Amino acid sequence: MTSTAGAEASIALLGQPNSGKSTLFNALTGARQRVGNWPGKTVEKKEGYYTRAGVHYHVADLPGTYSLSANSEEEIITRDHIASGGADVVCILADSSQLSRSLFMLADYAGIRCPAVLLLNLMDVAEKQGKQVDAAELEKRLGIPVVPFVAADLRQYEPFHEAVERALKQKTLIDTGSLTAKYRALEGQVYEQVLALLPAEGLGRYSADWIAAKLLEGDQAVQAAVEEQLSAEKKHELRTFLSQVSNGALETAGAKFQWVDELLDGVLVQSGKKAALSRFDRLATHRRWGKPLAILIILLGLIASFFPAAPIMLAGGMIPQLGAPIGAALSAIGAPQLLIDLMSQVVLNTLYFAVAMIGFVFGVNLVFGFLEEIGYMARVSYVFDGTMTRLGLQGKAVMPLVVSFGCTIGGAAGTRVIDSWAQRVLTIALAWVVPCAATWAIVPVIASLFFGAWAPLVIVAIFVVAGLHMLVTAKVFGSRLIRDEDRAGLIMELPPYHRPRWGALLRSILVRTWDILSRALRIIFIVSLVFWLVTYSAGGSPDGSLLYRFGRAIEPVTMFFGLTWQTFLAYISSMVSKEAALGVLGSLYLGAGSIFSSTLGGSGPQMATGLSEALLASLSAPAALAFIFAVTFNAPCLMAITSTYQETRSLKWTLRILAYYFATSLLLAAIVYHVAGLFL
Amino acid sequence: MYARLLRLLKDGRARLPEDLSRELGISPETLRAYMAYLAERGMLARIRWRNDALGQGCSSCLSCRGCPAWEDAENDPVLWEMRNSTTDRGNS
Repeated sequence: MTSTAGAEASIALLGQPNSGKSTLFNALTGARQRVGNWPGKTVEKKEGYYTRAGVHYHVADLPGTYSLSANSEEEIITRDHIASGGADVVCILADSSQLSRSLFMLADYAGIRCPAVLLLNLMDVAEKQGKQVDAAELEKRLGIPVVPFVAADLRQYEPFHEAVERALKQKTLIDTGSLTAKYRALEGQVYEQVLALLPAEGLGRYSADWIAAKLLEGDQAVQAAVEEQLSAEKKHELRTFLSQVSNGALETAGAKFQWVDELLDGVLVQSGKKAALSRFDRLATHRRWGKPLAILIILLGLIASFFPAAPIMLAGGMIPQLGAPIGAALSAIGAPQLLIDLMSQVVLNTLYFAVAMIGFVFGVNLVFGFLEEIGYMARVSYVFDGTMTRLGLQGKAVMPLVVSFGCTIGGAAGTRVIDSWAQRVLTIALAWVVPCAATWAIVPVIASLFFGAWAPLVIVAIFVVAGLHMLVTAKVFGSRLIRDEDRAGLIMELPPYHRPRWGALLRSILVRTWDILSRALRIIFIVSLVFWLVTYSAGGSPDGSLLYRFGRAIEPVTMFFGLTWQTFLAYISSMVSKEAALGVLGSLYLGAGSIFSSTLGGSGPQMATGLSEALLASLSAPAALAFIFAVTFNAPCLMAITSTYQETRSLKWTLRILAYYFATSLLLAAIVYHVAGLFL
Repeated sequence: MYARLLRLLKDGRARLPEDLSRELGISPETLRAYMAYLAERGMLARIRWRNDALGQGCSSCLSCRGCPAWEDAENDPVLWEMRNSTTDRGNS
């Protein structure tokens, strides 16, 4: 189809999928349309017509494509239709709500010598997003008519018709001056070099500029068409040159996006609210200040966790007091002594521990759940990315480490997104340092017991030591695992801040708290029961107990690390599960009573009215601190060890990491015990 | 721009689109558009960390209920990672 002076004209609708071409096509042609296939292709061809002011307009709805490269049948059809003279004017539709992206098609079209009109469709959506477009300025910059438009609104079609008529009359072509300047600025002057090999007049409707860009992109169809016009020598020269160009498509695309960016500078204005939150975010994501702010917020969060925890822990402290009345009641009904002991020493202690820990678990989950919910934790992972790099880790390692605050198993599994095996191993090795949720179930209980209001300082000390531990661990394992080529930069998009959904947050915290409580109850009860049975002595003398003799035998060694034989066994059991340590402590210090009384030379249950008293009576503050550090920095749990093996597929590395944590946790306990002994 | 982007990301640091766009001299919207373009061509991979990593479960652990590792993935940062570029001029 060709135009005949004012009486007939062909319009081609060009745009990316969902840019509104079909809406425009249907609005223009109504029932006057025909659907078939493009010659020799399976791609649908939609054509129609309309008449206006005596001019008969043929309209072709070209297939929706993202560009005019020869990547697909649709793209080849589209550009062949335009190049073959099938259109007198091309209406390029862009989605105004995402102009930076949808104007890529316009950039790809620039250099084709066919008059064009730019339709800024979906202006209503853009306006709702607070975007305003200065179409007149854009028109000035582009040199073609630009029409703000809503294809679905038939009342807005007059400016469209006028723009088409103007384009046909004035033969408006896109001003490509600034686009070619971007091409010329490509590294290695590749654009100018390829341009020098081309016929200056281009090829039909394709300008030399457009062809040069397509050749750099590796467009085989364009290259074949160009080579037909070249001598054998030039052809060889062109081929040799193009074979040396790397990432041409990505570089020219970059140039096109830069051109679009320049076009929209001052043309596209986004109004809206940013204000105070942005200022906070600038600080929260600041390279220098973001980290101290994150540390401060996390520490304040941990201290704040004690507030909801305190009343619950106090209530839990009353549970052991029930031992006497329950014991008396059971005696009154003639229950056997074993059952009375089991009830008052195992069941009540299990309940005591579970309730005492759950307050802090709830508090920690509430505070960190809130920070996560409002979007702040994502900022924390961003500001600590630099630290990851210094540790030799990839940026992607930050999320497994953050998740390890919840569960080390999740942290280990989370390393699956890391491609390098060595980086995965190193990340898992470092994830073991991060105190998991179960640690927060046990440490605050002991810390509050021994240090009262100073307990938060113990938590702060744990974080400081964890940081140093990570540095040392990264040095120890990194020398074998880190390779510079494994490091890859990331672009990190942070979620927007939003108001917490309190209902969902509380529901999730309660589910999680209940889950930890029920698991802790089970573990503590089973461990308590086993140790209680192993050490139970109806006669009141534990001397015959194998465990007691074993404990006594190892104590001279374990005391070097600040661990009594009871806390040492609790420490060992924490490798199976952190909560198990509490069960072991309960049984060994209270269970059977006899071991406790033998150890202290007292009279058993009468002395130990509760585990709190028993622990306070039998452990010094430095020994309690040593126990806290030993358990915190021990292997997280049996499941985490298994998970480490499953994720690394290396028994050697799993055992190496396990041995390292066993040794370093004892070493830390020894240091803490001896240093604290100087002051406490 | 692609070569500059590669060079900037080579230092192994994570960057916010806002910072990166400043370094590249373009608007964040244009950078996002370019990122989408690169992603469509497989040169940039979008990682929704929690879904990608933990979607298959946590190896030895079978219980997701109440798991603290499973926070709301909506609040995770979205990570974009450059994939190795090929040396041919195409990639399109």
